[in-house]
Amino acid sequence: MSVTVSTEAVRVDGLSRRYGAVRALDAIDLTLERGITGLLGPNGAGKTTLLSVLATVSEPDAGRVSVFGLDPGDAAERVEIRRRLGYLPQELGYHRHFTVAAFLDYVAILKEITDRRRRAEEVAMVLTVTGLEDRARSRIRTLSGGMRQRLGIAQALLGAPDLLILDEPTAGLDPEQRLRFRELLSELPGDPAIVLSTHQADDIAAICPRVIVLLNGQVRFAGTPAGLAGTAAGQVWAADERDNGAHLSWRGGDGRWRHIGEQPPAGAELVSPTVEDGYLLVSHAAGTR
Amino acid sequence: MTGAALPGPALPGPVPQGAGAAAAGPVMAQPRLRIVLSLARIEAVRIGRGWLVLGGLLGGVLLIGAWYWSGQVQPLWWEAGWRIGGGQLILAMAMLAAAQLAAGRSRRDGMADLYASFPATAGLRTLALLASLAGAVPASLLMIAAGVVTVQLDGPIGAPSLMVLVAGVVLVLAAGAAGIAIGTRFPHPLAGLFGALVLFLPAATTHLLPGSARWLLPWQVIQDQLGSLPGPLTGYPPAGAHAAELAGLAIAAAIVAVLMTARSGRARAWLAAGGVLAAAVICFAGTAQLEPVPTAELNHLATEMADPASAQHCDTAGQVRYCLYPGFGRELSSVAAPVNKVLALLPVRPSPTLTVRQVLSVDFTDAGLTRGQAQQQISRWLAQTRDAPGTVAATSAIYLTAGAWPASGGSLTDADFNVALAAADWAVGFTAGGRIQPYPPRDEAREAVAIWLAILATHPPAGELQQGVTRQGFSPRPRSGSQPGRPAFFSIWFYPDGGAGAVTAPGPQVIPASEYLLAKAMTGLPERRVNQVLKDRWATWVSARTTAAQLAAALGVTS
Amino acid sequence: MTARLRALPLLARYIPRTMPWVTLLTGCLTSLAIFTVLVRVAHHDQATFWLDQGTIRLSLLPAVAALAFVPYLPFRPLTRATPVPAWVTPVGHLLLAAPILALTYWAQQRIMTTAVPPHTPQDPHEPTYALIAQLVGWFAVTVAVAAWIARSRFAELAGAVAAPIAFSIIALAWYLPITAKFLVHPPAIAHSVAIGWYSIAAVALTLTCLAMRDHWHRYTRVLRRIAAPGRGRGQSGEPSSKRGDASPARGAGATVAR
Repeated sequence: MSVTVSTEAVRVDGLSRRYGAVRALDAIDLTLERGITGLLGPNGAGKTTLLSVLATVSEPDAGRVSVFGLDPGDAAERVEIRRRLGYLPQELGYHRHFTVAAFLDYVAILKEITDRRRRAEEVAMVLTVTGLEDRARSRIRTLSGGMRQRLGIAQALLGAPDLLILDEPTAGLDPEQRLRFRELLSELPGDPAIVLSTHQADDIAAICPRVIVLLNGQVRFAGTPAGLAGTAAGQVWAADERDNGAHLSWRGGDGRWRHIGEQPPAGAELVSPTVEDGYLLVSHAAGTR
Repeated sequence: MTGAALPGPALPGPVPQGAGAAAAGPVMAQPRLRIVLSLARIEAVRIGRGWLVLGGLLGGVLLIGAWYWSGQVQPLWWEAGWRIGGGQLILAMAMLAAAQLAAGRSRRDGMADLYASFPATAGLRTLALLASLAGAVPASLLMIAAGVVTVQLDGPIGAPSLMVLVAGVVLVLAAGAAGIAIGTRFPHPLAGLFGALVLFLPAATTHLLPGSARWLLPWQVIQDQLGSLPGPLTGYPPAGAHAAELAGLAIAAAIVAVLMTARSGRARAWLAAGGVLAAAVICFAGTAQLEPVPTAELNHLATEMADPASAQHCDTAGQVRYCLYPGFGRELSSVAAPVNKVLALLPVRPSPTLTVRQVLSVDFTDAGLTRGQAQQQISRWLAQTRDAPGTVAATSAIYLTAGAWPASGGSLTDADFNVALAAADWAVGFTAGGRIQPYPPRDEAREAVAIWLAILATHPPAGELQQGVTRQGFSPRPRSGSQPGRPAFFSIWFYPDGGAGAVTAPGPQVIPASEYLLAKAMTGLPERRVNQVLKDRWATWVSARTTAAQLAAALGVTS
Repeated sequence: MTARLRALPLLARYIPRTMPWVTLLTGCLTSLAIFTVLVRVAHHDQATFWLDQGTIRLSLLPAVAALAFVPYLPFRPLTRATPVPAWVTPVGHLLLAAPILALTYWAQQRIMTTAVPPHTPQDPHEPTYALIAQLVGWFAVTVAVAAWIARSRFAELAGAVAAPIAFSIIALAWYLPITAKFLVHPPAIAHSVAIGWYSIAAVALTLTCLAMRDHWHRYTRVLRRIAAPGRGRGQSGEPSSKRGDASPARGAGATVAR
């Protein structure tokens, strides 16, 4: 069966998903282009549910999803999507007695990379880019948590996917590996569409040209990281004292208090907002509505 | 709008004078007992509200209900306590699996390292788990309450044995302790399932085991001989010793569980001493369970079986003698009802007096009952009871096996029909010698009359009666030197729940289907007309020589 | 489709490696051990006349319990997102388990034959084909329950949940008078028993297939409803307007909903 593949990566229209009485996704509308899109949101915001729907793992209760113009509701088109997909679930689970290379080889077969030579090349490539080449023969049970996370990223990269869905990929990575991961994503060939969820606003600021803030199952912001930071422009203050009148206050690493609020506290100075400031302000605005 | 402080990273900032001492000072250690009890409360709630234990409770109650609500078991308290324990066995299996899951949870979820970092040691956590087994006690007591209510509603005979009921609770606790011991070492869920099956399988295969050893198993669900006794028997089954054995097993399992997690040498020494004590209790209780039942008790039982009249109380009602063992007097009305209905329908009543007698069916070869007795003594009991009433049919008596009335093997309606048919067989003149019929069985009009009387007296479901029609084949005995002849097939009829009530009567064992079909046709005719035909030539119709075809012709039944 | 078919023989190498062999073999060996002990005890007690097909059935329960753990796959979240269907591996596991279970049953029969001399009618009313049908039914029910559990939020506990449920279903089928009439001999005849249990196995197989199918089936159904004339939204293919009172972005190209 032949299918037509669109250049538009993902289009979501009115997507809803409930778990019993909990509405995990509430009529979400989204369009994702190629490139990296960051998904920010607190725990329980619906990030994992949205990603699992995009990864064709979970089905929505209502709404339409289109991935590269393909409809996951159609069995043949769903398989076509999966052929272009790399997915790192939040909790992967492993056969702990497998070696790293054997696990990747197994996943490569599941991704229909049936040519032996190509499979070996793919496995070697992803091992190299994730820095696991010297652990290829190690059993998974001997790997550290960070290494297992890298192995998860490695399996997602198999087959040069057009759509890479990564659910908290930097969790458990050390700072060096996080930098390497950012570099890796920005250098992936073929300009794939990448959606990654994270709690790390600095990851978003560093590598994502686009960011989506998801709160209570609804999209609260969709734009650039600069735009997200811009939502807090003129509302972020630094002071030596705590200001009870601010929307949000916390003490930074330098010992000074950082405030988000419309009115400056006494003796405060206006500072440039960050992506984190913007995210916190959007979250706060959603929480007080 | 008020400001909200965000939880930021804990930074080494300036600490006020005086605060450092408090911050860096020794943390007050919580009393161990309080830790154990706090953890135990949480685990008890988790286990008690878990789907496994709730499912086990439901399954156990349903099992007890199935026995008594269906009316298939006579509610004798000396047996009912053990049956309620059968329900407890289901709960115990669930408890074992739930406790194993709880004990293995930290390792199964990969959180062993995290737990190891807590001040509450693994030994304390195991103790807490063991203490949480108290959470199963309400479930166990609830099952006892449900069982007792169910049996009481059924109108039981005798009084409940507290020791047997307590043993059921101890069984649940012992299973829970075993589950914790298993889970501490084997976190895989399959281990708990295997443990539960190890509890269940011996209980389901006791018939394969030597009689004397059966008591050593965790629980013997159905005690066949118990249901055949006219009352409780001292030392049978040895409930107290069994409860002690289960308690010993519970303590031993708990000690094994704590031993696997305790690190202190001193604690281990104490545990080892406790283990020796538990082993001693188990051995002592095991030995006590293998002790023979007092010979005097068995002598008395053999006498009651061989000569029921010596122990029974007899009443005469409607010229029928009803002889029942003491305690079974309340069954008189239910036994008499179908008999009286048949007698009321009779055109001519036979002269000999009918006796309906309760009899015992006790197996003295069962080592569970006669363990430790001399073989000669057992032989004497066997000889004494060989010709006991009920072992063979009698012409003017209907025998009802104790414990099987009113409905063992079927519903009360079925048991009523069987007694009514037995009374009708007596009324139409069948003798004990006529029970054994030739193949194919003789076609006699009087059996059709007997079936008709029994149907009119008790009105069993027509579909059930019809199900009894079947074809049977038999091979004629070959003459010497010749090949066996071709098997012949003929239609017979048997009452589908013929075992209900365990009735021994003078009627034939094999009934041709034609006789049932005639009786069925007779029920479609006006009762007065059938009565008239029967009354006119009663002696002819109850003669062994009169065929069903002749009666059919007289009644005008064509097919 | 061709690519998927090409993947199947390659997966054959990994399916045995992902199979929970230890669990299954432990179950089967425990069954054999229990059966052997029962036969020995009965032999010692001169009670071999009590050995019957019921003994085989009961002692196979540990193997049934182990089978409940077979259809579970540890990294199911990932395999559900790959083009090769997620059911391939569990089905492969079940195909591997089948001969092991058959072998266990065969070994029990051999032990039974050794313990009880040939031509001794152990249970003349219950032919072997009826027993095999019962066991096939038991296994199929267990697999169906396990497959549905693997799809549920209890997936992590897998067989620990599936086995008790399967045992309960089997016990109900066995002891409820209405089902026992067709499934247990006596009162049912052997043919009825065989037909009854094979029918249950067929139903269980269907349920297993339903449990293992792709998770998007519900979405397809919803789409059909949406596609019905005059119903649903987005018929034109254009995304509908954003929800909420979206305001113009402060940053370039951004949308903030408040």
